[in-house]
Amino acid sequence: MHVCKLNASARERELKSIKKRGGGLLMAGVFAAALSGTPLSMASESPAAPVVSLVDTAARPSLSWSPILLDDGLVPYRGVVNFDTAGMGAGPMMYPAPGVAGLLVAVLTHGVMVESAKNSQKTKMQEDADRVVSDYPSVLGEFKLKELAQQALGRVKTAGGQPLASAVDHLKDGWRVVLKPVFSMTQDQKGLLLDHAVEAYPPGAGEPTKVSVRVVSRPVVAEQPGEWWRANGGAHLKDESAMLMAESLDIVLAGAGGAHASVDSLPQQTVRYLEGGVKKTERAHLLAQNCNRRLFKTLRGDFLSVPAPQDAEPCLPQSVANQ
Amino acid sequence: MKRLLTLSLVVSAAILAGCAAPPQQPVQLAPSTVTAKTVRIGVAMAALPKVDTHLPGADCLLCYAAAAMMNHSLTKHVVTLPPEGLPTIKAEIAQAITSKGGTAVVIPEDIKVDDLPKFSAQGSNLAGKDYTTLRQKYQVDKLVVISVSTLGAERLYSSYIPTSDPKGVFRGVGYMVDLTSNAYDWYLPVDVLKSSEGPWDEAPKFPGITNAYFQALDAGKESLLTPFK
Repeated sequence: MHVCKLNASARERELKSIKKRGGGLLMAGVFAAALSGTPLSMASESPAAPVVSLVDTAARPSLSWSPILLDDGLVPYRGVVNFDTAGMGAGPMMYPAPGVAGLLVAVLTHGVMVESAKNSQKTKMQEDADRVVSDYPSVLGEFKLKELAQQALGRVKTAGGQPLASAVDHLKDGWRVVLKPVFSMTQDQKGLLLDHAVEAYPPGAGEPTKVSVRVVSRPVVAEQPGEWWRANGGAHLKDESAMLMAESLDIVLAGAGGAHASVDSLPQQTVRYLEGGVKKTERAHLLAQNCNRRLFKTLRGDFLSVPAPQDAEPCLPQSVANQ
Repeated sequence: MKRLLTLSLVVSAAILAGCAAPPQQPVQLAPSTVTAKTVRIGVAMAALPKVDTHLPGADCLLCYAAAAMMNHSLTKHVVTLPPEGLPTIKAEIAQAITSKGGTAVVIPEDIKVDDLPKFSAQGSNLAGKDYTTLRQKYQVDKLVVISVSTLGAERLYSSYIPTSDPKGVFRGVGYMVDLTSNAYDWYLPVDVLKSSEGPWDEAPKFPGITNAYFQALDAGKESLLTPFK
Protein backbone atom coordinates (compact mmCIF):
# COMPACT_ATOMS: atom_id res chain seq x y z
CA MET A 1 0.00 0.00 0.00
CA HIS A 2 1.32 3.45 -0.83
CA VAL A 3 1.52 6.21 1.73
CA CYS A 4 1.93 9.88 1.03
CA LYS A 5 4.69 11.32 3.20
CA LEU A 6 6.45 14.41 1.90
CA ASN A 7 9.88 15.75 2.80
CA ALA A 8 10.35 19.46 3.63
CA SER A 9 11.10 20.72 0.11
CA ALA A 10 8.28 18.67 -1.37
CA ARG A 11 5.93 20.12 1.26
CA GLU A 12 6.88 23.62 0.12
CA ARG A 13 6.20 22.73 -3.51
CA GLU A 14 2.86 21.22 -2.57
CA LEU A 15 1.88 24.34 -0.61
CA LYS A 16 2.65 26.57 -3.58
CA SER A 17 0.77 24.23 -5.85
CA ILE A 18 -2.32 24.30 -3.66
CA LYS A 19 -2.34 28.10 -3.42
CA LYS A 20 -1.87 28.32 -7.18
CA ARG A 21 -4.73 25.87 -7.84
CA GLY A 22 -6.93 27.89 -5.55
CA GLY A 23 -7.90 24.66 -3.85
CA GLY A 24 -8.81 26.37 -0.61
CA LEU A 25 -6.87 28.13 2.08
CA LEU A 26 -4.27 26.03 3.89
CA MET A 27 -4.41 26.23 7.68
CA ALA A 28 -0.84 25.89 8.85
CA GLY A 29 -1.95 24.68 12.22
CA VAL A 30 -4.01 21.87 10.70
CA PHE A 31 -1.12 20.91 8.46
CA ALA A 32 1.28 20.74 11.38
CA ALA A 33 -1.26 18.77 13.38
CA ALA A 34 -1.73 16.32 10.53
CA LEU A 35 1.98 15.61 10.33
CA SER A 36 2.66 15.58 14.06
CA GLY A 37 -0.14 13.17 14.86
CA THR A 38 -2.29 15.59 16.86
CA PRO A 39 -5.99 14.85 16.38
CA LEU A 40 -7.89 17.32 14.20
CA SER A 41 -10.68 19.10 16.05
CA MET A 42 -12.37 21.60 13.80
CA ALA A 43 -16.11 21.41 14.26
CA SER A 44 -16.22 23.49 17.42
CA GLU A 45 -14.37 26.41 15.75
CA SER A 46 -15.58 28.56 12.87
CA PRO A 47 -13.01 27.62 10.23
CA ALA A 48 -12.71 29.77 7.16
CA ALA A 49 -10.94 27.16 5.04
CA PRO A 50 -11.23 23.51 4.05
CA VAL A 51 -8.97 21.02 5.81
CA VAL A 52 -6.15 20.01 3.51
CA SER A 53 -4.26 16.93 4.55
CA LEU A 54 -1.14 16.19 2.58
CA VAL A 55 -0.63 12.73 4.00
CA ASP A 56 -2.71 9.66 3.36
CA THR A 57 -1.94 8.14 6.73
CA ALA A 58 -2.46 11.26 8.84
CA ALA A 59 -3.15 10.44 12.46
CA ARG A 60 -6.89 10.04 13.00
CA PRO A 61 -8.72 11.00 16.17
CA SER A 62 -8.71 8.24 18.76
CA LEU A 63 -12.22 7.42 19.96
CA SER A 64 -13.75 4.66 22.00
CA TRP A 65 -16.17 3.16 19.50
CA SER A 66 -17.94 -0.06 18.79
CA PRO A 67 -19.13 -1.29 15.40
CA ILE A 68 -22.61 -2.86 15.55
CA LEU A 69 -24.06 -5.29 13.01
CA LEU A 70 -27.76 -5.89 13.69
CA ASP A 71 -28.09 -8.78 11.24
CA ASP A 72 -25.76 -11.10 9.38
CA GLY A 73 -27.43 -11.43 6.01
CA LEU A 74 -25.80 -11.28 2.62
CA VAL A 75 -24.05 -8.08 1.65
CA PRO A 76 -26.50 -6.16 -0.56
CA TYR A 77 -25.28 -5.31 -4.08
CA ARG A 78 -27.27 -3.66 -6.83
CA GLY A 79 -26.67 -1.91 -10.15
CA VAL A 80 -26.16 1.83 -10.55
CA VAL A 81 -29.30 3.15 -12.23
CA ASN A 82 -29.76 6.32 -14.26
CA PHE A 83 -33.22 7.89 -13.99
CA ASP A 84 -32.55 10.73 -16.46
CA THR A 85 -35.05 9.25 -18.95
CA ALA A 86 -37.65 8.31 -16.34
CA GLY A 87 -41.15 9.71 -16.66
CA MET A 88 -44.09 9.59 -19.06
CA GLY A 89 -44.43 11.97 -21.99
CA ALA A 90 -45.93 15.45 -21.93
CA GLY A 91 -49.09 16.43 -23.75
CA PRO A 92 -52.74 17.41 -23.41
CA MET A 93 -55.34 15.09 -21.97
CA MET A 94 -59.00 15.15 -23.01
CA TYR A 95 -61.13 14.48 -19.95
CA PRO A 96 -64.53 12.96 -20.85
CA ALA A 97 -66.36 14.71 -18.02
CA PRO A 98 -69.99 15.88 -18.13
CA GLY A 99 -69.60 18.42 -15.30
CA VAL A 100 -67.25 19.82 -12.64
CA ALA A 101 -67.61 16.78 -10.38
CA GLY A 102 -66.99 14.47 -13.31
CA LEU A 103 -63.91 16.48 -14.29
CA LEU A 104 -62.52 16.21 -10.75
CA VAL A 105 -63.02 12.46 -10.69
CA ALA A 106 -61.40 12.17 -14.13
CA VAL A 107 -58.38 14.24 -13.08
CA LEU A 108 -57.93 12.26 -9.85
CA THR A 109 -58.17 8.97 -11.71
CA HIS A 110 -55.64 10.22 -14.26
CA GLY A 111 -53.32 11.21 -11.42
CA VAL A 112 -53.51 7.81 -9.73
CA MET A 113 -52.87 5.99 -13.01
CA VAL A 114 -49.89 8.18 -13.92
CA GLU A 115 -48.34 7.85 -10.45
CA SER A 116 -48.69 4.08 -10.59
CA ALA A 117 -47.14 3.98 -14.07
CA LYS A 118 -44.22 6.17 -12.96
CA ASN A 119 -43.49 3.98 -9.93
CA SER A 120 -43.66 0.82 -12.05
CA GLN A 121 -41.31 2.36 -14.56
CA LYS A 122 -38.75 3.24 -11.90
CA THR A 123 -38.96 -0.22 -10.35
CA LYS A 124 -38.36 -1.80 -13.75
CA MET A 125 -35.41 0.53 -14.45
CA GLN A 126 -33.82 -0.49 -11.13
CA GLU A 127 -34.45 -4.18 -11.86
CA ASP A 128 -32.85 -3.83 -15.29
CA ALA A 129 -29.85 -2.05 -13.75
CA ASP A 130 -29.51 -4.79 -11.10
CA ARG A 131 -28.81 -7.34 -13.86
CA VAL A 132 -25.18 -6.18 -13.84
CA VAL A 133 -24.64 -7.93 -10.49
CA SER A 134 -26.38 -11.10 -11.64
CA ASP A 135 -23.00 -12.14 -13.14
CA TYR A 136 -21.64 -12.70 -9.64
CA PRO A 137 -23.91 -15.33 -8.08
CA SER A 138 -21.13 -17.51 -6.66
CA VAL A 139 -19.45 -14.55 -4.97
CA LEU A 140 -22.44 -12.55 -3.80
CA GLY A 141 -24.41 -15.64 -2.83
CA GLU A 142 -21.95 -16.34 -0.01
CA PHE A 143 -20.57 -12.96 1.04
CA LYS A 144 -22.05 -12.13 4.41
CA LEU A 145 -22.14 -8.84 6.27
CA LYS A 146 -20.10 -10.20 9.20
CA GLU A 147 -17.26 -11.27 6.89
CA LEU A 148 -17.34 -7.86 5.19
CA ALA A 149 -17.37 -6.04 8.54
CA GLN A 150 -14.42 -8.04 9.90
CA GLN A 151 -12.38 -7.32 6.76
CA ALA A 152 -13.30 -3.63 6.89
CA LEU A 153 -12.53 -3.26 10.60
CA GLY A 154 -9.03 -4.58 9.92
CA ARG A 155 -8.49 -1.59 7.63
CA VAL A 156 -10.07 1.21 9.66
CA LYS A 157 -7.43 3.80 10.56
CA THR A 158 -9.29 5.33 13.52
CA ALA A 159 -7.91 3.97 16.77
CA GLY A 160 -10.01 2.87 19.74
CA GLY A 161 -12.32 0.41 17.98
CA GLN A 162 -13.90 -2.47 19.92
CA PRO A 163 -14.76 -5.89 18.49
CA LEU A 164 -17.86 -6.20 16.33
CA ALA A 165 -21.07 -6.36 18.40
CA SER A 166 -24.65 -7.26 17.55
CA ALA A 167 -26.64 -4.97 19.85
CA VAL A 168 -26.84 -1.20 20.22
CA ASP A 169 -26.74 -1.22 24.02
CA HIS A 170 -23.25 -2.68 23.94
CA LEU A 171 -20.49 -0.31 25.20
CA LYS A 172 -22.53 2.71 26.34
CA ASP A 173 -19.30 4.55 27.26
CA GLY A 174 -18.21 4.97 23.68
CA TRP A 175 -19.67 5.69 20.25
CA ARG A 176 -21.77 2.86 18.81
CA VAL A 177 -21.85 2.79 15.03
CA VAL A 178 -24.58 0.68 13.40
CA LEU A 179 -23.40 -0.55 10.01
CA LYS A 180 -25.82 -0.59 7.05
CA PRO A 181 -23.82 -0.80 3.82
CA VAL A 182 -25.33 -1.06 0.34
CA PHE A 183 -23.02 -1.49 -2.65
CA SER A 184 -23.72 -0.57 -6.26
CA MET A 185 -21.79 -1.60 -9.33
CA THR A 186 -21.62 0.65 -12.37
CA GLN A 187 -23.13 -0.69 -15.60
CA ASP A 188 -19.68 -0.94 -17.24
CA GLN A 189 -18.55 -2.98 -14.17
CA LYS A 190 -15.54 -0.69 -13.79
CA GLY A 191 -16.64 0.96 -10.58
CA LEU A 192 -18.05 0.14 -7.18
CA LEU A 193 -19.93 2.54 -4.93
CA LEU A 194 -20.77 2.21 -1.28
CA ASP A 195 -23.78 4.01 0.15
CA HIS A 196 -23.43 3.68 3.88
CA ALA A 197 -26.35 4.95 5.97
CA VAL A 198 -24.73 4.82 9.39
CA GLU A 199 -26.48 5.37 12.72
CA ALA A 200 -24.00 6.77 15.21
CA TYR A 201 -25.08 6.55 18.87
CA PRO A 202 -23.09 8.94 21.10
CA PRO A 203 -21.62 7.84 24.45
CA GLY A 204 -24.35 7.51 27.07
CA ALA A 205 -28.01 7.34 26.18
CA GLY A 206 -28.33 9.98 23.45
CA GLU A 207 -30.35 9.75 20.24
CA PRO A 208 -28.45 8.47 17.19
CA THR A 209 -27.21 10.72 14.43
CA LYS A 210 -27.88 9.43 10.93
CA VAL A 211 -24.92 9.96 8.65
CA SER A 212 -24.90 9.08 4.95
CA VAL A 213 -21.58 8.45 3.27
CA ARG A 214 -20.97 7.58 -0.35
CA VAL A 215 -17.53 6.21 -1.20
CA VAL A 216 -16.60 5.78 -4.87
CA SER A 217 -13.91 3.31 -5.87
CA ARG A 218 -11.10 4.05 -8.27
CA PRO A 219 -12.07 2.76 -11.75
CA VAL A 220 -10.89 -0.75 -12.64
CA VAL A 221 -8.37 -0.62 -15.48
CA ALA A 222 -8.56 -4.33 -16.41
CA GLU A 223 -9.77 -5.09 -19.95
CA GLN A 224 -12.37 -7.50 -18.59
CA PRO A 225 -13.51 -5.85 -15.36
CA GLY A 226 -16.06 -8.56 -14.65
CA GLU A 227 -13.37 -11.24 -14.79
CA TRP A 228 -11.14 -9.15 -12.54
CA TRP A 229 -13.83 -8.80 -9.87
CA ARG A 230 -14.66 -12.53 -9.99
CA ALA A 231 -11.04 -13.77 -9.89
CA ASN A 232 -9.94 -15.92 -6.91
CA GLY A 233 -13.43 -16.42 -5.60
CA GLY A 234 -14.27 -12.72 -5.78
CA ALA A 235 -11.24 -11.65 -3.73
CA HIS A 236 -10.94 -8.29 -5.52
CA LEU A 237 -14.64 -7.55 -5.08
CA LYS A 238 -14.57 -8.42 -1.39
CA ASP A 239 -11.31 -6.56 -0.87
CA GLU A 240 -12.55 -3.38 -2.54
CA SER A 241 -15.87 -3.57 -0.69
CA ALA A 242 -14.01 -3.81 2.62
CA MET A 243 -11.76 -0.88 1.67
CA LEU A 244 -14.76 1.31 0.81
CA MET A 245 -16.47 0.37 4.07
CA ALA A 246 -13.34 1.13 6.12
CA GLU A 247 -13.07 4.52 4.40
CA SER A 248 -16.70 5.29 5.23
CA LEU A 249 -16.16 4.41 8.90
CA ASP A 250 -13.09 6.64 9.13
CA ILE A 251 -15.15 9.51 7.69
CA VAL A 252 -17.99 8.98 10.18
CA LEU A 253 -15.62 8.63 13.13
CA ALA A 254 -13.65 11.70 12.09
CA GLY A 255 -16.94 13.61 12.23
CA ALA A 256 -17.72 12.15 15.65
CA GLY A 257 -14.30 13.34 16.76
CA GLY A 258 -15.01 16.84 15.46
CA ALA A 259 -12.59 16.74 12.50
CA HIS A 260 -14.86 17.99 9.71
CA ALA A 261 -15.10 21.71 9.00
CA SER A 262 -18.45 23.50 8.96
CA VAL A 263 -19.58 24.08 5.37
CA ASP A 264 -21.08 27.50 6.13
CA SER A 265 -17.85 29.25 5.19
CA LEU A 266 -16.83 26.87 2.41
CA PRO A 267 -17.66 27.70 -1.21
CA GLN A 268 -19.78 25.37 -3.34
CA GLN A 269 -18.03 23.90 -6.33
CA THR A 270 -18.85 21.51 -9.15
CA VAL A 271 -16.83 18.37 -8.47
CA ARG A 272 -15.87 16.15 -11.40
CA TYR A 273 -14.86 12.54 -10.88
CA LEU A 274 -15.07 9.11 -12.52
CA GLU A 275 -17.74 6.61 -11.50
CA GLY A 276 -16.43 3.55 -13.29
CA GLY A 277 -15.74 4.85 -16.79
CA VAL A 278 -18.42 7.52 -16.66
CA LYS A 279 -17.70 11.17 -15.88
CA LYS A 280 -19.88 12.40 -13.03
CA THR A 281 -20.36 15.77 -11.45
CA GLU A 282 -21.63 16.79 -8.03
CA ARG A 283 -22.23 20.18 -6.47
CA ALA A 284 -20.52 20.04 -3.08
CA HIS A 285 -18.19 21.63 -0.55
CA LEU A 286 -14.59 20.39 -0.39
CA LEU A 287 -13.75 19.24 3.14
CA ALA A 288 -10.39 17.53 2.74
CA GLN A 289 -8.11 16.04 0.14
CA ASN A 290 -4.92 14.02 -0.03
CA CYS A 291 -2.93 12.16 -2.65
CA ASN A 292 -5.50 9.33 -2.66
CA ARG A 293 -8.95 10.75 -2.10
CA ARG A 294 -11.07 13.89 -1.84
CA LEU A 295 -13.83 14.31 0.72
CA PHE A 296 -16.85 16.51 0.08
CA LYS A 297 -20.10 17.42 1.77
CA THR A 298 -22.99 17.42 -0.70
CA LEU A 299 -25.85 19.90 -0.83
CA ARG A 300 -27.95 17.34 1.05
CA GLY A 301 -25.37 17.25 3.86
CA ASP A 302 -24.12 13.76 3.00
CA PHE A 303 -20.44 12.87 2.72
CA LEU A 304 -18.96 11.97 -0.64
CA SER A 305 -15.48 10.46 -0.94
CA VAL A 306 -14.06 10.13 -4.44
CA PRO A 307 -10.63 9.15 -5.77
CA ALA A 308 -8.16 11.98 -6.31
CA PRO A 309 -7.95 13.05 -9.98
CA GLN A 310 -5.73 10.98 -12.22
CA ASP A 311 -3.40 13.95 -12.75
CA ALA A 312 -2.95 14.46 -8.98
CA GLU A 313 0.48 14.08 -7.38
CA PRO A 314 0.89 10.35 -6.75
CA CYS A 315 1.45 8.99 -3.27
CA LEU A 316 5.02 7.94 -2.53
CA PRO A 317 5.67 4.19 -2.19
CA GLN A 318 5.91 2.85 1.36
CA SER A 319 9.58 1.99 0.91
CA VAL A 320 10.44 5.59 0.01
CA ALA A 321 8.24 7.04 2.76
CA ASN A 322 10.05 4.92 5.34
CA GLN A 323 13.52 6.17 4.32
CA MET B 1 -68.00 14.55 -54.38
CA LYS B 2 -65.76 11.83 -53.02
CA ARG B 3 -63.17 12.65 -55.65
CA LEU B 4 -63.29 16.34 -54.73
CA LEU B 5 -62.82 15.54 -51.03
CA THR B 6 -59.83 13.29 -51.76
CA LEU B 7 -58.27 15.94 -53.99
CA SER B 8 -58.67 18.69 -51.39
CA LEU B 9 -57.11 16.43 -48.72
CA VAL B 10 -54.11 15.68 -50.96
CA VAL B 11 -53.61 19.36 -51.81
CA SER B 12 -53.86 20.37 -48.12
CA ALA B 13 -51.31 17.74 -47.14
CA ALA B 14 -48.93 18.90 -49.86
CA ILE B 15 -49.24 22.54 -48.74
CA LEU B 16 -48.68 21.67 -45.08
CA ALA B 17 -45.70 19.45 -45.88
CA GLY B 18 -44.18 22.21 -47.96
CA CYS B 19 -44.59 24.73 -45.14
CA ALA B 20 -42.78 22.54 -42.58
CA ALA B 21 -39.04 23.15 -42.81
CA PRO B 22 -36.95 20.07 -42.07
CA PRO B 23 -35.05 20.43 -38.79
CA GLN B 24 -31.36 21.30 -39.13
CA GLN B 25 -29.23 18.22 -38.64
CA PRO B 26 -26.00 18.36 -36.62
CA VAL B 27 -22.90 19.33 -38.59
CA GLN B 28 -19.56 18.17 -37.23
CA LEU B 29 -16.84 20.77 -36.87
CA ALA B 30 -13.85 19.96 -39.08
CA PRO B 31 -10.58 20.53 -37.14
CA SER B 32 -9.08 22.50 -40.04
CA THR B 33 -11.88 25.08 -39.72
CA VAL B 34 -10.48 26.47 -36.46
CA THR B 35 -6.76 26.18 -37.17
CA ALA B 36 -6.43 28.49 -40.19
CA LYS B 37 -4.66 31.62 -38.96
CA THR B 38 -5.94 33.83 -41.79
CA VAL B 39 -9.59 33.14 -40.95
CA ARG B 40 -10.99 35.36 -38.21
CA ILE B 41 -13.61 33.62 -36.11
CA GLY B 42 -15.96 35.70 -34.00
CA VAL B 43 -17.46 34.07 -30.88
CA ALA B 44 -20.79 35.42 -29.70
CA MET B 45 -23.70 34.48 -27.49
CA ALA B 46 -27.39 35.14 -27.53
CA ALA B 47 -28.81 36.58 -24.30
CA LEU B 48 -29.07 33.92 -21.59
CA PRO B 49 -32.58 32.92 -20.60
CA LYS B 50 -33.82 33.34 -17.04
CA VAL B 51 -33.20 30.27 -14.86
CA ASP B 52 -36.72 29.03 -14.22
CA THR B 53 -39.05 26.03 -13.85
CA HIS B 54 -40.55 24.81 -17.12
CA LEU B 55 -43.78 22.83 -17.27
CA PRO B 56 -44.35 21.49 -20.80
CA GLY B 57 -47.66 19.69 -21.25
CA ALA B 58 -49.59 21.92 -18.83
CA ASP B 59 -50.96 23.74 -21.86
CA CYS B 60 -54.42 24.95 -20.93
CA LEU B 61 -54.70 28.11 -18.85
CA LEU B 62 -56.14 26.36 -15.81
CA CYS B 63 -53.66 23.48 -16.20
CA TYR B 64 -50.72 25.90 -16.17
CA ALA B 65 -52.10 27.78 -13.17
CA ALA B 66 -52.53 24.54 -11.23
CA ALA B 67 -49.04 23.31 -12.20
CA ALA B 68 -47.43 26.65 -11.33
CA MET B 69 -49.12 26.60 -7.93
CA MET B 70 -48.07 22.99 -7.31
CA ASN B 71 -44.44 23.86 -8.06
CA HIS B 72 -44.37 27.29 -6.44
CA SER B 73 -41.76 26.51 -3.76
CA LEU B 74 -39.53 24.73 -6.29
CA THR B 75 -39.74 27.70 -8.67
CA LYS B 76 -39.00 30.12 -5.82
CA HIS B 77 -35.71 28.27 -5.26
CA VAL B 78 -34.79 27.54 -8.90
CA VAL B 79 -34.91 31.21 -9.93
CA THR B 80 -32.13 31.93 -7.43
CA LEU B 81 -29.69 29.52 -9.08
CA PRO B 82 -26.88 31.14 -11.10
CA PRO B 83 -26.00 30.26 -14.73
CA GLU B 84 -22.51 29.57 -13.46
CA GLY B 85 -19.81 29.38 -16.09
CA LEU B 86 -22.08 30.27 -19.02
CA PRO B 87 -21.19 33.96 -19.38
CA THR B 88 -17.54 32.96 -19.81
CA ILE B 89 -18.13 30.21 -22.37
CA LYS B 90 -17.41 32.45 -25.37
CA ALA B 91 -14.05 33.43 -23.87
CA GLU B 92 -13.27 29.75 -23.30
CA ILE B 93 -14.16 28.87 -26.90
CA ALA B 94 -12.04 31.75 -28.19
CA GLN B 95 -9.14 30.58 -26.01
CA ALA B 96 -9.52 27.01 -27.33
CA ILE B 97 -9.48 28.24 -30.95
CA THR B 98 -6.40 30.39 -30.30
CA SER B 99 -4.58 27.51 -28.62
CA LYS B 100 -5.12 25.42 -31.79
CA GLY B 101 -3.49 28.10 -33.89
CA GLY B 102 -6.64 29.87 -35.11
CA THR B 103 -7.63 33.52 -34.76
CA ALA B 104 -10.61 34.19 -32.52
CA VAL B 105 -12.38 37.38 -31.51
CA VAL B 106 -14.87 37.58 -28.63
CA ILE B 107 -17.95 39.62 -29.58
CA PRO B 108 -18.82 41.45 -26.37
CA GLU B 109 -22.51 42.19 -26.97
CA ASP B 110 -25.31 39.62 -27.15
CA ILE B 111 -26.41 38.56 -30.61
CA LYS B 112 -30.11 39.14 -31.33
CA VAL B 113 -30.73 36.38 -33.85
CA ASP B 114 -34.46 37.15 -34.16
CA ASP B 115 -33.65 40.65 -35.41
CA LEU B 116 -31.61 39.34 -38.34
CA PRO B 117 -33.37 39.23 -41.73
CA LYS B 118 -34.40 35.92 -43.25
CA PHE B 119 -31.94 34.37 -45.69
CA SER B 120 -33.51 34.14 -49.12
CA ALA B 121 -31.76 31.00 -50.36
CA GLN B 122 -32.69 27.58 -49.06
CA GLY B 123 -30.57 24.47 -49.08
CA SER B 124 -28.74 21.89 -47.07
CA ASN B 125 -26.95 23.33 -44.03
CA LEU B 126 -27.83 26.91 -44.87
CA ALA B 127 -28.78 29.16 -41.97
CA GLY B 128 -32.36 30.40 -41.97
CA LYS B 129 -31.31 33.91 -40.92
CA ASP B 130 -28.95 36.09 -42.94
CA TYR B 131 -25.69 36.38 -40.99
CA THR B 132 -23.68 37.79 -43.89
CA THR B 133 -24.31 41.38 -42.77
CA LEU B 134 -22.35 40.65 -39.60
CA ARG B 135 -19.14 40.11 -41.57
CA GLN B 136 -18.73 43.84 -42.11
CA LYS B 137 -20.00 44.74 -38.66
CA TYR B 138 -17.61 42.53 -36.66
CA GLN B 139 -14.79 42.21 -39.24
CA VAL B 140 -14.79 38.41 -38.97
CA ASP B 141 -15.05 35.65 -41.58
CA LYS B 142 -16.95 33.11 -39.47
CA LEU B 143 -19.18 33.48 -36.46
CA VAL B 144 -19.68 31.02 -33.61
CA VAL B 145 -23.00 31.57 -31.85
CA ILE B 146 -23.94 29.95 -28.55
CA SER B 147 -27.66 30.17 -27.89
CA VAL B 148 -29.14 28.72 -24.68
CA SER B 149 -32.92 28.49 -24.76
CA THR B 150 -33.85 26.65 -21.56
CA LEU B 151 -32.16 26.63 -18.18
CA GLY B 152 -33.36 25.51 -14.77
CA ALA B 153 -35.75 22.67 -13.93
CA GLU B 154 -38.26 20.93 -16.17
CA ARG B 155 -41.25 18.86 -15.15
CA LEU B 156 -43.45 17.19 -17.75
CA TYR B 157 -47.21 17.42 -17.49
CA SER B 158 -50.23 15.85 -19.08
CA SER B 159 -52.74 18.67 -18.58
CA TYR B 160 -53.17 18.79 -14.77
CA ILE B 161 -51.07 15.75 -13.88
CA PRO B 162 -47.25 15.68 -13.59
CA THR B 163 -45.87 12.79 -15.63
CA SER B 164 -42.30 13.10 -14.41
CA ASP B 165 -40.29 14.30 -11.44
CA PRO B 166 -38.59 17.69 -11.94
CA LYS B 167 -35.17 17.41 -13.58
CA GLY B 168 -32.29 19.79 -14.18
CA VAL B 169 -32.44 21.07 -17.77
CA PHE B 170 -30.00 22.68 -20.19
CA ARG B 171 -31.21 23.14 -23.74
CA GLY B 172 -29.60 25.17 -26.50
CA VAL B 173 -27.62 25.11 -29.70
CA GLY B 174 -24.11 25.99 -30.78
CA TYR B 175 -23.25 26.74 -34.39
CA MET B 176 -20.63 28.31 -36.62
CA VAL B 177 -21.77 30.22 -39.72
CA ASP B 178 -19.55 31.07 -42.67
CA LEU B 179 -20.33 34.76 -43.19
CA THR B 180 -19.69 34.52 -46.95
CA SER B 181 -21.91 31.57 -47.85
CA ASN B 182 -24.21 31.70 -44.77
CA ALA B 183 -23.67 27.94 -44.43
CA TYR B 184 -23.15 26.10 -41.16
CA ASP B 185 -19.61 24.87 -40.56
CA TRP B 186 -20.79 23.46 -37.24
CA TYR B 187 -24.21 22.84 -35.79
CA LEU B 188 -24.82 21.13 -32.47
CA PRO B 189 -28.17 21.01 -30.66
CA VAL B 190 -27.74 20.26 -26.96
CA ASP B 191 -30.52 18.81 -24.82
CA VAL B 192 -29.54 17.70 -21.31
CA LEU B 193 -31.89 16.46 -18.61
CA LYS B 194 -30.56 15.26 -15.27
CA SER B 195 -32.69 13.59 -12.62
CA SER B 196 -32.32 14.10 -8.90
CA GLU B 197 -30.38 11.36 -7.10
CA GLY B 198 -32.57 10.38 -4.24
CA PRO B 199 -35.81 12.19 -3.34
CA TRP B 200 -36.44 15.51 -5.09
CA ASP B 201 -39.18 17.06 -2.97
CA GLU B 202 -37.05 18.58 -0.20
CA ALA B 203 -38.20 22.16 0.29
CA PRO B 204 -37.01 24.86 0.68
CA LYS B 205 -33.52 24.24 -0.77
CA PHE B 206 -34.30 21.18 -2.96
CA PRO B 207 -30.71 19.85 -2.85
CA GLY B 208 -31.44 17.00 -5.27
CA ILE B 209 -32.86 19.29 -7.97
CA THR B 210 -30.17 21.92 -7.34
CA ASN B 211 -27.50 19.28 -7.84
CA ALA B 212 -29.27 18.03 -10.99
CA TYR B 213 -29.38 21.60 -12.34
CA PHE B 214 -25.62 22.05 -11.92
CA GLN B 215 -25.03 18.63 -13.47
CA ALA B 216 -27.12 19.60 -16.52
CA LEU B 217 -25.36 22.97 -16.71
CA ASP B 218 -21.93 21.35 -16.59
CA ALA B 219 -22.84 18.68 -19.15
CA GLY B 220 -24.39 21.22 -21.52
CA LYS B 221 -21.43 23.56 -21.31
CA GLU B 222 -19.02 20.67 -21.81
CA SER B 223 -20.93 19.53 -24.93
CA LEU B 224 -20.52 22.99 -26.47
CA LEU B 225 -16.82 23.29 -25.56
CA THR B 226 -15.67 19.80 -26.54
CA PRO B 227 -15.65 20.31 -30.36
CA PHE B 228 -13.12 23.13 -29.88
CA LYS B 229 -10.76 21.28 -27.50
